[in-house]
Amino acid sequence: MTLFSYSFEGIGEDAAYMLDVSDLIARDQSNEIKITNTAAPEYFNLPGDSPQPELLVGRLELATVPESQAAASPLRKSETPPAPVSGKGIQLDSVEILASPAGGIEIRQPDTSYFIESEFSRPGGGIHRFGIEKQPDTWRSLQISIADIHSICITAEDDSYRLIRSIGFRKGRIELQDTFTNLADRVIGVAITHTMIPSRPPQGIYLGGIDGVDNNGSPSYPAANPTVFYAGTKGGLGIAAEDTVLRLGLKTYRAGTRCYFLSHHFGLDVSASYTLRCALYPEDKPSYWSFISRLRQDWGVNRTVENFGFAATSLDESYSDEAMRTFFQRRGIRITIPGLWWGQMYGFTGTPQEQVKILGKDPVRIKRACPDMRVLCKIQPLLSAACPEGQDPYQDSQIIQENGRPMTFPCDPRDPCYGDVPPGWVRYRHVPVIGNSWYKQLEEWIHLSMTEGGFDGIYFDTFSYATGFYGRYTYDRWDGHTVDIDPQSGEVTRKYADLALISEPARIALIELVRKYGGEVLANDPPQTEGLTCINTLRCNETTNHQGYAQMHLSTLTPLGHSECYTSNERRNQKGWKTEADRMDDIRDKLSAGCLYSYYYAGPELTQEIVTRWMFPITPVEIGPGWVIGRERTVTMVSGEYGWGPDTVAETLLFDENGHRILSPPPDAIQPIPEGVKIQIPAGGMGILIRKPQQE
Amino acid sequence: MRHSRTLPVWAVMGLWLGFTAFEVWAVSPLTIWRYEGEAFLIPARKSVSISVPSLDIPAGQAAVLVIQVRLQTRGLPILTGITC
Repeated sequence: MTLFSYSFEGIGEDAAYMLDVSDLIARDQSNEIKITNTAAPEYFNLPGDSPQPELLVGRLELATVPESQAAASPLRKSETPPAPVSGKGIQLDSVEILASPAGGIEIRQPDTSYFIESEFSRPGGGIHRFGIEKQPDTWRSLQISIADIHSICITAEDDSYRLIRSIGFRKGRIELQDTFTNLADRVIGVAITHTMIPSRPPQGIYLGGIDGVDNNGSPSYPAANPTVFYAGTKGGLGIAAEDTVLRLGLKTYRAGTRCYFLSHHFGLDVSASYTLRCALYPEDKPSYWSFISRLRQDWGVNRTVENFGFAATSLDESYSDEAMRTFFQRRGIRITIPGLWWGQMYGFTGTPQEQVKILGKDPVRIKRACPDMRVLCKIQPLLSAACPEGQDPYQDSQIIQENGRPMTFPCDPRDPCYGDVPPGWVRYRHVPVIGNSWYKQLEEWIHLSMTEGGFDGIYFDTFSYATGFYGRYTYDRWDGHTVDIDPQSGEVTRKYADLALISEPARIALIELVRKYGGEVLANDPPQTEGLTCINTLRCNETTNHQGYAQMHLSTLTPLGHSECYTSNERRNQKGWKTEADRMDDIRDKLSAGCLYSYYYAGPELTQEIVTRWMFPITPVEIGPGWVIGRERTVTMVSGEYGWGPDTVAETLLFDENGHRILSPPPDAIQPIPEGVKIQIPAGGMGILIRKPQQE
Repeated sequence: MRHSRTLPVWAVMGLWLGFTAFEVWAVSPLTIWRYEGEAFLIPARKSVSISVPSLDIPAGQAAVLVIQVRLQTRGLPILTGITC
């Protein structure tokens, strides 16, 4: 947990933090206080070479306060659940949904109840609530009804908007939909906060797929894994944001046992309506993995994943055809992406026809060595080539900042990729919208890549338009939903456009264009809109930590592997990034988070084929902490029983700590059982079960 | 050792939630142990460990850690944070 205050102004220079450590302190024995200074200049937007912040510790004490006062602390207070709801309800199997007369919801499961309270800002000032306990009357009207045996309807209204909440059982899960209609004669904004309160302390709370973190997502970096999961005693409850507007504006955080699910930039045009949609999954076991596997099934993201890698960026001209063939074979790579980009780098200024001749040399060279390799062409859909300032050929597509100026990307002369431009030139950032000049440029590049270039598909970099670093909003237009809301007046203070929202139709059209040529699409970043989640594309994610891996849980499960220049110090061992064991350690790290693997840069030299050669293709049906069960194969690092039923396992392979196949495993390492096999995973190793071809 | 002085502190509990929100919890804790050394600096990415002797925490009392910390970097406004 990080505690932070910008300033002690008005509080006193001698102010101190006070932390309730009752549950941390070991009584009747000595204790140790460890303070670590984790501050870094970049936290404060200071240059990287600024002096490292030092932490000055003045006063340090242990003290006592009466329990009655401790119970009044903000966190402790949050741990007191409301009384059970005695309102109207509906039931399916062992799960009951009850609505309190004040609009709050209780989801009652056999071992735990989960209460949902909601707050909605009110144009003109103030807050409306759907509470568990009786609330002051702020709505003009509030009605609760049982719509049918499977759903409850809550209708609330004030002068500026109508809210119709529908909550009920559909397709084995609970769907919660809030439909807002603007009744005012102006654009309105509604800041929405849902609070989830369990009736008893949970074993774990997963935000974005990670237990123990305090928050997930933000307006700058929305939640790629827009979920919360409560792991209770025997069961659990998962919640997922489903529609694009809620996902893009979503932030989740926790305080104590309460979780907050909020969207604070939601706006509506005059007379407009929009429905924010969540899905809730009561689980009969306290497993995030069970929940996320169900959600994957319902979202239709269990698609076949092929082995892809950027390894070709490390294959220079000195590689013989044989060396290249060996390189790909040992990794099992079937889709690769060479180094050159369309229109962007290394002073690449020729016409598109001239550029495609240069780009097209890579697929010829790679396919000469590996005729079956599918080669993708790299497009950066956000940055164009540098040009003299003010002479952007795609001016109608620029991303405009709050100050009205177009957004550019730094041309740092120290950067060999981005810095090789004359003084006074800039690299503008663009957003494709159907019909604008940048969209047409991307269309032309795709067309040339897939025809004259000899490519088998397209790699789109930074394709989510949802990462703050590359640009998140444009301030020259309104997308119909994104607004800032004054917390006091409740009125809209600014309207602007979410790049991920306004570019979604164009991005879908570009993917479909590649498909029209029979091409493959790989995109960097997990999908973060509903439309793009529904489209089958391979995805990667530049990440080196488990939070990043969990961002892939609703996509193709393929975060990029470590590389020499892209390696987290926490993860890498003291040996560096040199051995096959290092590579295997990286693959297992991903699998421990329910993910597969994709190759980034070359990494350690391999002496023989390694485990990834047998991992793909795979169509996942269930993921867990250390395994991915697919239709064609199962990949695991956890000993146990696996299989698809009697007489379904064709082959069981074991791999050692170097990722090498164990040709003669110990006799008891693989034992047949009625439903499949029982396997014992070697230390630091993995196992792969290959399924027999299925009968129609 | 036990200090009987009641400290009139405003203890500030700031939760780093991605936005500027913090809550104030006003109580008067009774100090039962205090680090007696001088104020000290912890360099970036370094840790300091301090042993605390066995303490008698009476029934009905909650234990709290009171800590005054400041980040020091020239040019910064007063910024104070702690991670536990």
